[in-house]
Amino acid sequence: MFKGLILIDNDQVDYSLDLTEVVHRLAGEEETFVYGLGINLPEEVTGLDEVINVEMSTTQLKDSRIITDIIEQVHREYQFDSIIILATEFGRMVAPRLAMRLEVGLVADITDIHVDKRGKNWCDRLFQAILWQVSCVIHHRSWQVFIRMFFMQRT
Amino acid sequence: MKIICLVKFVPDTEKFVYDYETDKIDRDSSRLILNPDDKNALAFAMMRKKQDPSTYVEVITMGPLKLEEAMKDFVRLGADRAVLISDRHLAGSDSLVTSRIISSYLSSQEYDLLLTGTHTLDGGTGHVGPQIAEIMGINQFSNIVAIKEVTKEYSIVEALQEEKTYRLKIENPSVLSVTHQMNLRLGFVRYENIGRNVDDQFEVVTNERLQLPAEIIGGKGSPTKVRKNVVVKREQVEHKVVKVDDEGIDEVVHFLKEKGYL
Repeated sequence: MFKGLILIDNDQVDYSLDLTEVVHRLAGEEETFVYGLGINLPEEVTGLDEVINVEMSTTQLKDSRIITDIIEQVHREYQFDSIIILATEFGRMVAPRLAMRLEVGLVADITDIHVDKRGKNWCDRLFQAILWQVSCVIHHRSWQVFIRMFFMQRT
Repeated sequence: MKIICLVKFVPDTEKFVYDYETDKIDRDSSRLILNPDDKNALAFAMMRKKQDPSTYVEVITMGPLKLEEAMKDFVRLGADRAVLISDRHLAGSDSLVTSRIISSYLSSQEYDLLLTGTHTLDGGTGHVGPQIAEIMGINQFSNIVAIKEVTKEYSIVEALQEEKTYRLKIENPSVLSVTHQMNLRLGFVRYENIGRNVDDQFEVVTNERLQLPAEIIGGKGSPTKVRKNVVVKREQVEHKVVKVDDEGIDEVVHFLKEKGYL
């Protein structure tokens, strides 16, 4: 069972849910279970296998250390194979911290994901004039991706 | 107060040389420039030192030895110290490993504030600031467009997040990742300082000093690896200039309808 976690952005719920497709692509042929982690979710979120909602003080919502603590705690309990975060300004502060804490690879601005014949994941990231194709060495099967909004979900 | 600026030299995106055979940017032939966001971080530190001469400014970069003169120029410009972390064993490090290496050096230093850029022209991941903050166990914020106040205890900043501006008070020590929208000028080395010997304020740090195990640095220690680079060729887009009159407006409306926007 491939377990993927999506961090739900309250201001971009639809785009967050689009990341479900990313988890499925990463899982390949494997059976998949998609979790969503929300913080003070304003409404019920559907379309995921399980939603974990954490309530916290609104003054802490922009504290990337605290949000990282929460994701780490949830990850320790569920042991996700992959964690997917939207490449919003805030996502760009949380994901690197989390990757460092879990000591896993992190790829930003992904526009597409591929799985080769040996089942190894690699992805495209687009930046300026260069399209980088990045291979991800999977440590403990847990690595994070960081999806460029308005791009991947429309390809 | 001690401010450490973390800067990166990047290939000039307008003039970089791409080696299609090795599928890499030719960093030796490409002109290296100070990353614009990092330039603003350093310019702020210099401005602060000008206002309060007791401010100690140190500049750190990681890169090839050819950056020595550029780093020494920061001292000639007014910084107290410049450090170049350079070692062939560090080549090929991804952002996670780069953060680990720089943090290894920082852990032997005292500081009140770490200033850096949010994004770089050559990769733009924005990972290094948050990852260094994570290792050092301190606060961090990105996309800072203005630093309103800095003391040893805290910083008051304005940061852009998804088109909203936040005014934040951040406890120091912290990592503040600024953007070029701060619009600060770094200035030039004054005539009398050009070529001044600043060897006593400059240091090259190698892995012999950092003592990081080979398996956790460089390409070997990096969990992400670039498989291939593809240079996206920009096609010249046809453009037409119309007058601001009824005919011009009709043409724009017709164009938008044709493209399906209206």
